[in-house]
Formats: sequence, C-alpha cells, structure tokens
Amino acid sequence: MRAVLPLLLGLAACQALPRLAEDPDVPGSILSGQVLIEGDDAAAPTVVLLSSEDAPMPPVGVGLPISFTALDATAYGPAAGGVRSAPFALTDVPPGGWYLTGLLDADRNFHPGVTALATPTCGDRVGWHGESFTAFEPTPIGVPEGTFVQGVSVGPLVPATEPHPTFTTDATVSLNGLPTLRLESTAVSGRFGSPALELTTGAVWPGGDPVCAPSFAFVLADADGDGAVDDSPLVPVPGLFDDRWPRVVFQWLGAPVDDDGDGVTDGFDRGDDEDVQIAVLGDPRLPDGAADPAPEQVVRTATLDVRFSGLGLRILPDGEQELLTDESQLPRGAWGVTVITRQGLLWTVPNELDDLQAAALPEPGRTTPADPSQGVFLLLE
Amino acid sequence: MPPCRAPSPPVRSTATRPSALRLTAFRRSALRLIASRRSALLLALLVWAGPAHADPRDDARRHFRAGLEAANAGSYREAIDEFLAAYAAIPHAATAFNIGRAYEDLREDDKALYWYQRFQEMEPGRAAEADDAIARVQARLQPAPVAAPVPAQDDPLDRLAALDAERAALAASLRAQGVEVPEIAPAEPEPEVEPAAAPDVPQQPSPAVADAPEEPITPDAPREGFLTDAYERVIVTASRYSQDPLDAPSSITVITSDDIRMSGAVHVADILRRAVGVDVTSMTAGVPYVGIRAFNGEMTNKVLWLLDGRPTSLEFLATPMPVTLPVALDEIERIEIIRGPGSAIYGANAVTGVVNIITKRPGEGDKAVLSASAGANRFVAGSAVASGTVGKVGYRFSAGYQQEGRFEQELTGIDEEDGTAAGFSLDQGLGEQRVRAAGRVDTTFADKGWVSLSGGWSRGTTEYASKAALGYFGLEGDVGHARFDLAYGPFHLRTYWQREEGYTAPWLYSRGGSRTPGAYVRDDVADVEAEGTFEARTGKVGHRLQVGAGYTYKQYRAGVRTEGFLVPRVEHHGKVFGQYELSVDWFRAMASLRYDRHPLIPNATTISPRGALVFRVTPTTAIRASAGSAFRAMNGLESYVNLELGTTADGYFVNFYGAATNPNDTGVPGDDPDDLGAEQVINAELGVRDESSSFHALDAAVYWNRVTNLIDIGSVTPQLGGFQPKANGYPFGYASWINDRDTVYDNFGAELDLTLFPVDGLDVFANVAISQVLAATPTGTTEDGSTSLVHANLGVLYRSPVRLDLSLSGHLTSAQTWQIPTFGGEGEVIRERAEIPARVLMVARIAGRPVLKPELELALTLWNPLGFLPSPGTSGASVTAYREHPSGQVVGPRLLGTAALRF
Repeated sequence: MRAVLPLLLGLAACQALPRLAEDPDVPGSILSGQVLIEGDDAAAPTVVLLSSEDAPMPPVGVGLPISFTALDATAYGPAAGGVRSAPFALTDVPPGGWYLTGLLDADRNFHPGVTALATPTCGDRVGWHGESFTAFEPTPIGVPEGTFVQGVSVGPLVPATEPHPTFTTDATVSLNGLPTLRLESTAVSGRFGSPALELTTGAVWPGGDPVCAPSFAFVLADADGDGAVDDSPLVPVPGLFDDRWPRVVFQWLGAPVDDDGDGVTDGFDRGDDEDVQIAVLGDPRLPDGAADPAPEQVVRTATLDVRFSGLGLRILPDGEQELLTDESQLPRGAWGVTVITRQGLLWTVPNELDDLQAAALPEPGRTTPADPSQGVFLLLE
Repeated sequence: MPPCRAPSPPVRSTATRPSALRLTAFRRSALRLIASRRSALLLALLVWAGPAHADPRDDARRHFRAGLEAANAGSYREAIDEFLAAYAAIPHAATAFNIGRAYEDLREDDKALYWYQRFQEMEPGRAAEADDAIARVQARLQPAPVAAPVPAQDDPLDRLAALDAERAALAASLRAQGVEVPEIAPAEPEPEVEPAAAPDVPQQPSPAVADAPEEPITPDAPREGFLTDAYERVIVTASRYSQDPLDAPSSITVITSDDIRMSGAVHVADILRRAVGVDVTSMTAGVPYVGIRAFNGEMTNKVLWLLDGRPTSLEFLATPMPVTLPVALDEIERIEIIRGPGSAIYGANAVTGVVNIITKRPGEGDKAVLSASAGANRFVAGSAVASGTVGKVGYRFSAGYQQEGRFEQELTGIDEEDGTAAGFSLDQGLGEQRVRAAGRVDTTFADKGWVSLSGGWSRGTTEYASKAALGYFGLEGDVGHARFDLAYGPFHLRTYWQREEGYTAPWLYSRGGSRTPGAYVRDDVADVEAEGTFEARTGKVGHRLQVGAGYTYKQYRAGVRTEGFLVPRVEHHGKVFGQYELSVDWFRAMASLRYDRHPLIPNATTISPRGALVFRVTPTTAIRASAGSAFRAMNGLESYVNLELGTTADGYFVNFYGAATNPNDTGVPGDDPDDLGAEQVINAELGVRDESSSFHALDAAVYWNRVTNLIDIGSVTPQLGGFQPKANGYPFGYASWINDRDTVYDNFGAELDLTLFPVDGLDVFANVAISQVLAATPTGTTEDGSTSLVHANLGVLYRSPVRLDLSLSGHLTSAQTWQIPTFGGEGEVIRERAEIPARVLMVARIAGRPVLKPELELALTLWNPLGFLPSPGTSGASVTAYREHPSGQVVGPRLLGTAALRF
C-alpha cells in the first residue's frame, strides 16, 4: 500500500489525533503543572509535548510525541523570583513513564501538523521536565493509573541558541557500500499564517541573529565528563556507536513510485510493511576527513559528511523493537534524512516545502511555490 | 360502554367527611357480615389492618367487578360483601349506589335507602339519578322514610347491635393501650374514575357516576340498575383525553403512585425499568437515559417527556433530564408510558414513545408528606409536600433536596486548591445535587370552568454522559417554569414558559488545555395552545372531534465566550392538530393529523398522521391496530452549536457547527441535500389487551418501526489553521451534525405484559419485550446490537395486613454490542465495537408503618445489591459489576433508608 508521509521522526504524528487511554477499565490520568520561563522573557504561545519513556522525543531519542497541549501567551503570570509560569494540563495520559518537552514559539512559526514547522527553531524557548531546573537533563515522570498528577514543572524554557539545522542534500545518492552524503545547511523560514500555510526557503534567517546563522553545531558528547566520548543512547549495545551531535537518522520511506511515468516520484510503496518503522543511524563527521574535536568542543560547520552506519531499529506495530546491525537487514528503496540538534531542533527531508509531501497536507495546503531541494530522498539499492 | 364525559373541574367539590348516620349504618352493615366466616375475616382486617395505605385501586377494582358478577348471578349477599370490600379499599359513589341496589334487591330497604343517600352525598351533582330508587324504597318503607332503628330483640340486627357495642368497647380499650384501631372512615376518593379534560392538566376527576349501560353486555354485564364505571383505569396520554386503556390506540403502561412508592427508586427514570419495552441506561448516577423499544443511548432524544401533558426537556440539549424537574416523587399520581410514535398527538420528538408524568391534583392525597432519606454513596434526600383545599381552591406546594455521589470517580488526588486543572465541580465525588420547589393552585368557576396556575424551579449540579467519546459533562444551573390553564366546557387554553440557564462543561477539564471548554446556556420557551373537544351522536354512532392550534417561541443563548452567549437565536414555531374518533358499540376508529412548523425544517417532513382501529371483542378484551409517522426536530445544540470541540490531543480542537451556524450552509432549510433535517419514523402496530378477570391485566403487541435520517456527528474535514489564543490550541479541522441518509433502520418487536392481582395486597408483574433493529446500508444489512434483544422484568409487590410492605423485582437486559463513534487519526468517524454482557438489576424494598396517625413509614431499599460484592479489580469494581453503556460508569449499588410522615 502506498504511503506518502510515513515519517518516524519529527512531530508529524501530530497530524493525526493520538489515541491515548483506550481501555475503559484503565482510566487515564491528568498531568498538570506549570511551564516556566525567565522573568524577562517575552511570553508567546507555548506547547507542551508528551512522549513515551520508551520512545522519547529528541534530543533524548528519536521518538514521536504522543500528544500535546497548547497555551496562549496570556497564560503566563507575572514574574515571581525571576520566573514566570503558565499552567498546563495533559489529559487522558496512560500509566507509564513520560517525557515532557516545552516549546515557546517565539517566532510564531510552529505548527504541530506540518513537519517543516513542528520543531523548535532558533530563537524559540525549549525545555523539559527534569530533576534540575538548571541542568540540561530531561527526566521522565511516572504516571500511575487514574491519578491527578500535579505540580509537574516544565522548564525553565531556555533560548534555543543552536541554529536551526535546515539542510538539503544531493538527490539519489546511492547508499550502497559505505556511502557518505554531504549535508549542507541552509536557512528555511516557515510561517503559518491564517489560514494559509507559507513555507519558503531563503538564505537569510529572520532576525539576523548571528547565533541562528545556518550551520551545524558539531560536538562529541561527554555528558559524564570522564573525558571520553559517550556511547550513543540510541544503540542499546555499548561501545558500538559514539554519541555525536547533531544526530542523523535515516528513515525508510518505501519504494519510490512513479504512477504517471513522468519521472517524478509520486509516493512510496511500503508493501506489507506499512506499519513498520525502520530507522538507521547516520555517522556524522566533519567534512573532508577533518579530525574529531575534543569531547564537548563545539565546531560550527556548514557541511557534514554522514556515513550510513548500518545500525538501526526496526519497530513493529506492536511496539516491539529489533536491533539491526547488518546492512543486509535493511530494505531497499527510499530513505529520508533527519538531523537533530542537542537542543532538540530538528529538520527532515523530504518535507512539505516540496510538492511530494505537501500533497498530504489538509486544506488549505501549501500556498507558496515548491522548493524541490526539500523533496529529495536517498536511495538504497 | 357509557360515552365519555366532558372534563370535570380539577378541584373536588364533593369531599366530605363521613356523617354520623353513615358511620352508624356502615357499622351495622359491617356487623352483618359477621354471619359469614369470610366476612369475619374481612371485618378483622378492617379493624386491625388499618387503612390500605398502599395502592388499593386494584383490590377495589377486583372486588367491585366480583360484586357485579355476583349481582349478575343473583347472589346479592355475595355482591354486597364484595362491594363493601371495594368501598373499604376506596370509597366510591358508584359502589355506594350498587350496595344500595343490592340491598334493594334483597328488600332490605332501610339499608338500601342509607346507601342511596350516601351516593347522593358523595355525588350531589348526580343526586337526581338516585331519586327514583329512593322513591321506591321509601314507598316500601312507609311511613318512615329513613332507616328505622332496630325493632325486635330477636332481630339479627339486635344481635349485631350488641356485637357493635362490644366491638366499640374493645376498640376503645385497645386505643387506650396505644394500639391503632382505625375508624372505618373513607379515605380520599378514587381520583381515577372520572374521565378528565385534556391531559395538559392532571385531571383527577371527582368520582362521577357513569351512565348505566344502555343494554346488558353479556356475559359479564351486571343486572340492569347497577353502575359499572368505578375504579376503572383511565389514561390520558394516548389520545389527549381520558379513556379506558382498552380503548387506547397505543400500547400503554401505567405506573401508579403506589408502584412508585414501593419501587424504592430515587429517580423518575429508574421507576420506568419495570415497564415493558423500556430501556433505562444509567451512565451516571443522576441521569439515567430512557429509551422505548430501541435507539437508546447517551443523550437520548427519541422519547418525549411530558409533565402534566406539556413537553419538558432541556431545550438546548433536548435530552430529557427528569432529575431537573421540580417534582417530588410523592407528588406523582401516575406515569403513563406510550410505546410508539406520538407526533400526531404531541408533535416533535415523540419518535419511539411518550412518557407523561401526571401529578396529583391540589387537595388530593395526603394533606402533607415529609420524607427524608439517607444512604450509601452520599445519598441524601428530603422532601416536603403540602396539599389541601380552601373552599373551591385547591393548592399543592412542595420543596425538596437530593444529592448522590457518582458511581465512579476517575481520578484520585484531585486538589481543590490547585489552579492548574480542576473538575467541573470541586467536589468530584458528588454527581448530583439539587434543590427544588413547586406550587400549584386550582379553582373552579361557573360550574363548567376551571383555572390552574402552577410553577416550579430547581437548581443544582448534575453529571451527565455526553455523546460518544466526549465523556462526562456537568450541568450547573436553574430550570424553572410557570404555567397557566383555563378551561370552560369543551375549550381549553394552556400557556407555559420554561427557562433553563446554566453552565455546562466537561466534568474533568484542564485549564491550560484546549479540551472542550464550558458553555453558558440560557434557553427560553414560551408556548400557548388552545384546543376544543366536541362530541355528538348520530344514532348509535359516537363522534368526537378534537382540534387545536398553538404557537411556541424559543430563544437559545449558548456560547463558549460572551459574544456567542449574547447573540440569541430565536425560533417561531406553530402547530395545528386535529383528531377525529368514531365509535360504534365495540368498534372505534381514530384519525389524527398534526402539522408542526419548524423554522429550520422543510414543512413536508413535519406532518404527522396516525390512524387506529380498536375492536372490543368482549367488554374486557380489545384488539388494536395503528399506523403513523413521527419526527424528531433538531435540538438547540444541533442547530446552533459553534464551538471548539476538544480532541484526544489537548492542543488540537475541531470546529464544530450546527445546522444554522455552518459557514458552508446557506441557511435556507432544504435547499441543499446536505442540509440537516428531521429524523423520521413510520410505525405500524398490532396489539391486544385483556382484562377479562379481576385478577389480571394482559397486554401484547407486535410492531414495526422504520427510522431514517438519524442525526449524528459527521466526520472531521481536516483543515489547518494557526494557533487560536481563545481556544488555546490549533484547529485540526471542522465537523458538523449530519443526517445519516444511507442507513435505514427497521425495528421489529413484540411485547408481552402481564400483571396479576391474585389476592388483596399482592401484585405481580411480569413482562418481556423482544426488539431487533436491522440497519440497512448500501453495502448490506447488519444487526444493530446496541438495542438489547430481550428485556424482561419480574416483580412482586406485597402490602401485608400487618402494615409491612415487601417488594422485590428483577430486571434482565440481554447483551448489547455498541459501535462507539470516535475520531480516527485523520478525523474520520470510526466506530469501535464494544460489548456489554447481559445483566440483571435487582431491587428489594421493605417498609413498615408502625404509626398510623400521622402515618409513619420506615423503609429500607437495596438497589443493585450485587454492586456491593468485592472484586479483585484494580478499580475496586464488583466482580458482578456492570456497565449499562460502554462509555458509562460502572453502575453502583444503592442502600438507603427512608422515613416518611403522611398527614
């Protein structure tokens, strides 16, 4: 069966209404608390996203948000102790462990239903529920069955200072063998007006903040400070993979299909694996074989070489996960690319800037001209 | 059968206390009965048992008919015994007359004279009918026109007089010891006998006497000269006038005030569980939803509820919530349930049936009733009713309070002080809390006229289950009404005003989330209706024509935010109706037609015809056949909703529109095939009712309903939109109410209803209803499993002579398979299958009346006792706990004690 938009990563899942507590005999819970921002920050519409402990959202993992709630800028109260807060609540939350991610949409370009806009952008405020208000450590919260869980804090939300990792890449680059691909960053501005959806590419980032200039912040993680690069949390086996930022994930789209024979891909056919998700880690390196920097040393670069690692996960419809370690386990066909920064900023190609993915958008659709560079995908033959 | 009579005034004009002469004569007559062993037992019961507080109508009816049978057979002593027993249960003028007639046949003219005079005292308006009989007996009693004292020592009456003295002394002695020995005094007259006016007013007619039959109706007809029309069941809802149930063109069930008292029910809706073909679904504790024959469910809207004949439901939601009615259960005289469409008589929304709550007339029943109840799950209730007459003016006032906890509470840990998220009510555990007050004043004028002024108000908080996955909502606010009736002769004018005003919101909602917000609602309905009833005879053919017309003004205000609330939606409705009935001895034919003008519905779909034929194959057995159509109009919610509907993702909402607020609609009714229109039903029915013995009543029916154009929530059309600050979320798309034009529902069913009155004080009811709904779509036909195939009810009510009442009932509902609508991932409406297994609800009640004046009743009721059983379930639900709807709460048990004082 052909599918146009089966994306593993990003917030594309919020284009569909999530199904939460479905069992009437297992009552859902309410998660309630406050979103925090610094006192002098300008308030803006804010979303709180809920993701499972088993499949956490970036930057912790590469999972999808299960649900979200939103609140207006007027929800923030006056500053107290240097902090302003706004109440939030998520309802029908099933029992289990959950991550909460907060996003204050300072530049008003967020929308949960459009992949290209369902991500923080440079200038937004981002944060998580964590054990510490200062440490950059998202922490899951346990939710019992049928309980009103109160006093959950998200944040304080801090400015996303990393550049938005908008990028493009060459089309139809073969991934056979140990391919590499070059990611070149670019700037994309997205705005969701009312009612039109405007997505445009451009070389100049709105606001002109040099921090947000298009580039990748490349860093090898050493969160425990032992001087050695950490193991990637995305791979359950230690020692197999370094924790490198930005994280790059390839996701299987299916076999490209050209219905009308015009040489342009109209969609992807996943066959019997319609509901199976397959993600493979990319191994990002500095271009031109440059040596890795020291752990926690940030290097700004306009391009990244990414190797197709062959390590990945196969996630079945029932949630069961299978570790993939051999290229022969990977399906052939088209693969999308997602880049995730350490602050959880994210970009995916193909996306709705191009007509291929835009076709799946509900009314009013995209009203700006297509950018074919955002419609590219990679082929594994 | 005697022709139906013109309406009688609502206030009794013949209420009198027994005279000394009457008392003496009655004791003489009672003592006469000592001669027989059965009579001795009867006397003992009269002395020791106290007044038959429970519903003695069936007993009185049975004895009365037995008396007629005995009189027909020439057994006048036996007839007198039976008539006296009936009179002891409920004094009635016709009974008094018949006692006199039987004595006259025995040539005991002194006694006959007494009872004829008693008849004249009870029915002064018909006194002339006894003049000939009195003249006859007086002629034989010359010279003394009045019953002479006991003449000779060896006269049996002398012995009876001696016994009379002994009895009086014994009674005095017992009273001194604190034993209640009642005077043999009449209770309040039987309110059901006289055919009443239009059912808009609960006509509790004076016990008028029907004409003697024009000719004997063999084999059960009594000898000429005996009156037959006493204690007969009378209904008013089937045809908008009083009639014998045997003549009703519809299947009908009557639940009396005694049934209500002995049911132990705390809600009017729960009382209806015993009725055949009625489905009561309790999704929450306070608002059971009632369906008749089929199509019950959350926010059910296929049954028209009436209060004393006028429509009552919350206009905006248009789902009946009887819990908001300002009527105490003690005020209800009876509930009449019509099974089958009723739009030809009552207009919109009587699709599958009509429930008419008829309250007691001012001045009837107990002078005052004070009751208090308390029980498990925070159940507390109190009620006070006062009723009486001042001259020609009758009054009734009542006030009450009731609260009950929810069956289930979803969450623990609700913090009343937390400002981030809260429930509808800070007290999450209380699902129903309400105060109410009501009053009514009636008076007569100019012999043929009467006037009634009534009103009521209730305020409270109620939890109800909303549609589909929307879950539980709370409704907080006021419901009030005022009503005025004026009747003179065959004409009747009724006008009423009803307002509901309040706030409704999800029972649990998040502040900071965009789940469905609360809405402020205020609706006003003002109605005026006039009708006239005209009767004539051409030879043996009786003609009855009833015509009427009316106007209804409706104003809806509903808004999530003030701008929505301040914009009223005004509707002007009109109605014209007519009903013609032709009767010839054992045959009746009825034709009804009604047109309702609805501003949002094309006219052609609001014309409701009905035709019916009734054949009296015997005087006590009737066969009926009827056919007709009905419709359900869009309610305020379906017409004017315009709000953001929460979804499973708190940050997403769906713009939801009604018929008149859909931006894609022109607003002209019927100009677009997609315009929302009325639901339609056509019906055909065949039934038989048999009351050929005094010990039973049997009703059986088969029917077919075809329902089309059901209104439901349409699929969501995905549509992106930017962040909406007021809604605190992002639009996912839009949806609206739609008519399901692809599905035709055929409902076939059969009902069997048997009630037995084997001995005094014992009622047994047993009924079973079979109902199947087939849903035909372009892709095929499937069975709609949301309607139970089988409903069965069995109950025993026993009013013992020792002032101890026992009632036990069981209500079986077979398994159901629901298709719960919900939104799929792309906003499409998908139906999720959910099964509810078969279940049995049991109710037991025991009550005692240790004190008679005033009467104190102490009762203990156990409702759904299986709900108390423990369970290993994590939610603490009983192993035998059940839901009556997949989205409903587990139905909990009720254990409550009640104390009631009646003056």
